[in-house]
Amino acid sequence: MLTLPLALLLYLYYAVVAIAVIFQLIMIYHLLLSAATTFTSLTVTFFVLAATVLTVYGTWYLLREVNWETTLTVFESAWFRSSPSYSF
Amino acid sequence: MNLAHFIKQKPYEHIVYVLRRHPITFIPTLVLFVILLAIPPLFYIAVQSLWPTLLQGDVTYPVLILIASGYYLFVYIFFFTNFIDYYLDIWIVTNDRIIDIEQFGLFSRTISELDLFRIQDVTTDVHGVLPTFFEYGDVTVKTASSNVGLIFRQVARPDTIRHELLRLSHEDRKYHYAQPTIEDHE
Repeated sequence: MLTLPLALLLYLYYAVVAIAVIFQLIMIYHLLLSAATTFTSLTVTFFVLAATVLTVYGTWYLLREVNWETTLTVFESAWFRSSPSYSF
Repeated sequence: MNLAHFIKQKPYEHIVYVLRRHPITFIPTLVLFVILLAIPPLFYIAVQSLWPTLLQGDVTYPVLILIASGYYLFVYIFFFTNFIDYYLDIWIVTNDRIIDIEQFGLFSRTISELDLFRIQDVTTDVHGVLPTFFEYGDVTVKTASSNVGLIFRQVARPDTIRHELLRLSHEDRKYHYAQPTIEDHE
């Protein structure tokens, strides 16, 4: 039986959040460097940042009571051992 | 950083136009963004009606929430990247030159310049139903020295821009040809 701790998925999620933040910082840097700090670009930036914060907060809120010690079964040989039964 | 600093504006130079693609050209991205945002709620409704117990499992519930959250973060990146690609394609027209800045994705950009007095030919191309109704199209600027010129892509009021470019070019040519040459000094 192959199991993974559920917390591993949480760490993967942290990595995704980190990637999203890095990309957003790069894009803000682009806007600043290109002298494109207009009302439109500020509005879009605010919208994306706010959506990111709300998404991360919403995720934390929905998962705040999850037990991360639970294990996730990825593979179990018993899945293939049981022979199918047919009834006619 | 302001635009004047970005283009290293000369003392006698002033910015006449800052052009970007017509906002309507960004609408397909917006529509796609809204569709991508709508997928998880639709999936949730489908799961609730087909497998109502799936969202109550100790493992499946957090896994699905994490997947949906990660998906949303990638959708925001997709939207922001497309916005940057759209918004950082800029054509700056001054009384002396045209600066063409084109952004390709996040990590690729080309910047080219063309002196106004070298302009030989300006062509507009309004092609299709939407461009005709919303008055946007391409403006191609060519010089005498090369066949390859700058293209202002999908900009609003291309005919007005063509007229203005020809007028500015004419004025700049008068200024340049009025300058004393080396032979005049000798």
